[in-house]
Amino acid sequence: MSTVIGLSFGNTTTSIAYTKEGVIEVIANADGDRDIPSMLAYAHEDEFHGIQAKQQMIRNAANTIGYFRDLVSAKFSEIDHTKTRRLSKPVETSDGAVGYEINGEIKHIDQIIERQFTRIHEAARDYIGKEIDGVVLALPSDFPEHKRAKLLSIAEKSGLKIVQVIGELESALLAHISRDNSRENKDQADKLFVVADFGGTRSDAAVISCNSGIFTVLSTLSDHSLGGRLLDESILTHLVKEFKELHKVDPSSDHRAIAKLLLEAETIRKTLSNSTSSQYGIDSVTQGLDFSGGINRLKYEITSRQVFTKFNAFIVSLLKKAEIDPFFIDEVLLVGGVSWTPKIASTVGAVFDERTVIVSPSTDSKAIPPNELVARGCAIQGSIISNLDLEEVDQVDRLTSAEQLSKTIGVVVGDKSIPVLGKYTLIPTKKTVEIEATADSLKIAEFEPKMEITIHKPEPKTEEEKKQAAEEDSDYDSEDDDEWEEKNLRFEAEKTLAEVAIPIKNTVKVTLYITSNKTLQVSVTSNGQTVQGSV
Amino acid sequence: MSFKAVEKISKTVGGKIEPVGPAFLAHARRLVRNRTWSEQETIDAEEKARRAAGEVKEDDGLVDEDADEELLNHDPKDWKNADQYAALGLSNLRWKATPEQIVKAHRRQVLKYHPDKQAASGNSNDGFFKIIQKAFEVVSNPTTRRQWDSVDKKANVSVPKKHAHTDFYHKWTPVFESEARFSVKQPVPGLGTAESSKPEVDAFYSFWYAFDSWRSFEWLDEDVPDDSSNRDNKRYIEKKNKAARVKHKKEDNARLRKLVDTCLSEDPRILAFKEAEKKAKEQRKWEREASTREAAEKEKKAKEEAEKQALEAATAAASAKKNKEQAKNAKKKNKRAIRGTAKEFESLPSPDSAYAAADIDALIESLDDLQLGETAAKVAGLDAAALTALFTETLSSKGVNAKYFK
Repeated sequence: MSTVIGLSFGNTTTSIAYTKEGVIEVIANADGDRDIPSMLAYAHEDEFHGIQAKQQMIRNAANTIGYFRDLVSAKFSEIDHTKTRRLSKPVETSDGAVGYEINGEIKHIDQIIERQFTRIHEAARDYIGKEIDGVVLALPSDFPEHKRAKLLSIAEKSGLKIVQVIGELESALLAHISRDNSRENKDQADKLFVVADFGGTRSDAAVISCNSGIFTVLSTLSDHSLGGRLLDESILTHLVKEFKELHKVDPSSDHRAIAKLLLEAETIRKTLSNSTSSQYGIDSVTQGLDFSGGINRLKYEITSRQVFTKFNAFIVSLLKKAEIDPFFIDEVLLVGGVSWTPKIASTVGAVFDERTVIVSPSTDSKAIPPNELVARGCAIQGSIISNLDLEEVDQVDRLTSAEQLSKTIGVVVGDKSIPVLGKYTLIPTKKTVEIEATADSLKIAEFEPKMEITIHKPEPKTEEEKKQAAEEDSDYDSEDDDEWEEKNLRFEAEKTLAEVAIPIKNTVKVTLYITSNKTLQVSVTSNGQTVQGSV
Repeated sequence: MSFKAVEKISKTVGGKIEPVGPAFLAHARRLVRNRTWSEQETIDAEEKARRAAGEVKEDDGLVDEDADEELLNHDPKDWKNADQYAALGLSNLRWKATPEQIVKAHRRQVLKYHPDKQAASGNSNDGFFKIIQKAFEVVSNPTTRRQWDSVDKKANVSVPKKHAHTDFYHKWTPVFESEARFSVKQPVPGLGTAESSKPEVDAFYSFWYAFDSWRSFEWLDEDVPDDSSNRDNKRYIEKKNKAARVKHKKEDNARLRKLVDTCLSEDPRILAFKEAEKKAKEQRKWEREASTREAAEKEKKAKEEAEKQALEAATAAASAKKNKEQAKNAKKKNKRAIRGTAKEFESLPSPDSAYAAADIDALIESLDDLQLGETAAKVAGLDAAALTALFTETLSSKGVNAKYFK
């Protein structure tokens, strides 16, 4: 069994994870960081990486390089300069790619990324104490093929063999459902997820259907400007304003002052994710003036309101693109360092119905740290494929086209409709359910999920099925305190596939098996009697 | 009881799934092997059963060993000096034993040496059991285990003798493999083979010269007395222990450095590299000096040429001089010979005979020593007519106004 690590190489931070005897560990580098800033800084002969490079942002910004992952094999003329404006400015190399001028020498972006991989390689090897045989790397879904190939060849040069590249969002979801599986005894209920990765400088989200542990991506959306950096900037604006009021001095033109305040703003954001207030103190911001004070969570949320609205709008536009009503989303998984912020969870949660579970540290105490999800998912994938050889991985990696069910199939017993095989379930498949019921017969049918709205009034009103009505009602709702609305997910049988007559007492066991030639085999067992048939 | 098929399932759709997760791998495996769902189910079940059966017999790497008499009778109060690994029956694995193996070994030893069991067989000595428990305490705690490993002499591989007639790699590899266990940084580069490249060998030696060792010597500490009555004594012993640890550490570092030095001095690869480097250096020097050497050669050649030319010129000059001298010596004789030809013209009527004599005199005057010689040689044996022709020609070429020979 080979040593395969999981690597999440982001524009802002990098994390490495490794599965050791079934336990996933997120690896700390020599500085003790698990969230390693993807930064490199050069001072004279020395090269700094991670948090040390980030600190160089204050004194040595011209030789500090960051946010470079997306710049691999990008044309200089096409890149966005706003992200790097407080760091070393990219310059054009002779072949039109991105480079950086360090100590009078032009460093090509490929060199920078190779150094990054080398440092990551060292950190992983030192921590694990074994040579790294392979890496599972996570990349965003919209990462172009030529950039991916370039990244792979650079990694290879630095001694890291990338065995598989998987999507960041899928990786995070894998880490999440693996947690559930180990905890709740392998109950792999079919669920519809929204996975949203809010990174430092970009955000990605997708609607993913998870059926028996297999993922189908229904829709994706990326925003290359939305990210935690915007929140830091809004705190920075607030700090600058406070500083001006206190000292009557404007630090905006002082580069070092802004860098110091920005690093402090990031610390404040992280602190406010866990506590309701944060104190700060910075020595000699500008002109030798010290600066200290405090900010509470409410103030932060008010100052950054506009940014939070953008996160909300991002999710709304994802759902619009996917043409899915938020009501049908079962779970929302928040990924990325910014997802620690409680306000993000509540803002995003506001888009969805009450039945939707929001997974983030502020809403679920058992949630995996969102900044580690991607790396953990990669580590899980790494441990899965560590037994395969490279050719097998490559072969397996291409088996992504599949036949799937177009409708949910389930059982109708009495007045109950129980979905068994969800939409997008891969065929062939087999699943057994046990249902508590007492009846003379049951039906196997295809379902259509419906939103059932019950308006509770002093005197109950009839059911309405269309969402349109619900929206119209919502105005009316708020006027009357006694009245409240309840939405329920109900599966309505659309097409009956088979009818089984069998006396059922207490429980019935139904096994549905769809073969690869699309026939449905049913086996129903109750009270020791079994009825079988196929459609 | 009946089953009634009503309608076929709706048309399936072709979709794209993500190649992630255990469920996908199971699906992919099934596809690759071209198995149906139920075939796969049977195979999985079989595999599971096999694995469950296999786990029971799984090789735990432990060897059944009996503690020797000495260890069995070891004073439990002096447990620190007992071999901790031997007490657990791990004397073959030692520092290589994994935590699972330690737990297993301990359980086995407890079963074997439990006082109740021993008492049943008539042995009332429970000292060894105490040692087992102590040893497990030490070895299961990573900190104390490292302390014990640091002083575990039985795990050390002794440094090979310098002139031992075994292969260099064969004798040094186990030494470094054993020393590598103290490295903070893992993995440790190995000694390599005779085919190792220079960077590999260099990396090996630079690693070992900058070796970061976790080895520490707390185990050898003298027990600090527990009584609070004599604090001075306690502090004195603590201080002494600390000094001893530092001393041991220093000695250990020096030992390792010496070991690497010895290895380096014996390494045939280093010698080969040095040799190769020397050769390369010479080669480089030779190449670097090629141009100057060429220039020197050219210069030498030019010089030789010049010398040769000068010599030739000198010889030529000398021979010319000699000729001149000879001619000078023969001057009188020549003159006489030429003048003697006047006799031929004496028979001419006057004043022609006088003119001829005067012309000949003028001719003699006009000729230099060499020409005299030449002319003298020509005139010998000539008759008057031939002489007249010769003299006429010579005189006209000399531009002398002759009276007779014209």
